[in-house]
Amino acid sequence: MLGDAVLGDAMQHPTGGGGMAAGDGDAVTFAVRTAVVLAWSGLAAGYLVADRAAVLRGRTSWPAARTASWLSGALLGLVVSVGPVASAAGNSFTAHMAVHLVLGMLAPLLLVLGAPMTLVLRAVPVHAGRRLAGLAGSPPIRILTHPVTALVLSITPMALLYRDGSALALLHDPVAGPALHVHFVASGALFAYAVVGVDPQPHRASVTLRAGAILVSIAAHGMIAKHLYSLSGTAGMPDGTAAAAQLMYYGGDAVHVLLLVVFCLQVYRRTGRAGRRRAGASSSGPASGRVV
Amino acid sequence: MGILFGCGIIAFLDEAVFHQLLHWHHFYDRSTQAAGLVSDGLFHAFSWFATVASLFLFADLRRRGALDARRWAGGILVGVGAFQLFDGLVQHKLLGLHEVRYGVDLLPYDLAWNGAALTFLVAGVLVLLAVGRAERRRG
Repeated sequence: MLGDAVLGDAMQHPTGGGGMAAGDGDAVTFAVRTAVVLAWSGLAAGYLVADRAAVLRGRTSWPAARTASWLSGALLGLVVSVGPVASAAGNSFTAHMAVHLVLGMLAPLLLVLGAPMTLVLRAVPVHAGRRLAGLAGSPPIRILTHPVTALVLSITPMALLYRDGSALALLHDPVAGPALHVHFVASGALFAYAVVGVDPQPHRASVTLRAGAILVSIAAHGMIAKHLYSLSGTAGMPDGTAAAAQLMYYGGDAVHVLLLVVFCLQVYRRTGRAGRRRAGASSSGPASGRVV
Repeated sequence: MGILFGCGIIAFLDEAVFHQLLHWHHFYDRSTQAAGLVSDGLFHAFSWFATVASLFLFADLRRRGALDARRWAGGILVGVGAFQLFDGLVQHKLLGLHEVRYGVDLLPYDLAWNGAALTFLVAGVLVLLAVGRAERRRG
């Protein structure tokens, strides 16, 4: 699906490779790139297969918006992981930041809003579904998907990466770079699932705690961006650090606002339903659902 | 609830007008203490949250037929005034985050900034008091 020229382009790592022999580095890079393409395409294809399987089981009427959300998340992830965008990110710190915003925030949010677990539960036999649902409620998963855990997992690597220039070389490593990207996507998805997940979530954290986690995430993101901005021009920082830091600040805001809108909309709808239920039960007076 | 929306509006105006259009404020003037950076980060987060949440609260009030436009307007004025006063006194002065403008005599700018904030705040409180009185009179 991707021309040789594009893949070849992506492999030109101007500062990458470290002490590795050029030939080995190229082979590793090629393998990693192929795995990245397969992973993103696999996510998209797997979702469509599950959707088809659910339909064959007679479970139709899957919201198209969820499919659109998942597919656009996977497509965005693919576009920024390989090809011209990825090679631009190797040369420009601003492009690198744009890739990080997509991989760590936007793509995970879109994937989570695609409700993949719900779709899988519709696609598999009931007993398998029960096992999966039980797994989702198990203590390790509960701890992992707690908003605070997810927050720490997503903020810490970002803070370390942009603390000073020393960790940035990792990004050009043919293995550690993509591994870091996988972590960004995974921790971003974990956080999105913890605060606005539409998939089933036994023991979901309270609205207040989830709102607090979003607040801390916005604040931490802004603080790290300003810290990065203050590093621009110092030794070891790449050119364009100031522009990259501002992109991190305002781009991060944009995705966070999207997250806030989704969060508030979910609470708004739920209180609306609760209010209607109460109004129906007492059948007098207007519904008195309260938001937040 | 209008208070929340007021905070959001003024934070947004501050960002758009003073940071982006006039370039008076600086994105970050690099002389900030850690406490200032933390305070700025939290207030930044709070102002976004206030903006989005308050619009949904507005929708919720409408849905329940409990919306009082005058009370909402008064709340907005209080929010605008309180947020700007906090920004002008605590963030600019106490924490030294950034100044209203650089390379000029600051006194008239600070007076105008905080004076405008105080005016909004007092106007908002007066509106809310008037609404409260009118409601009591109606019983």
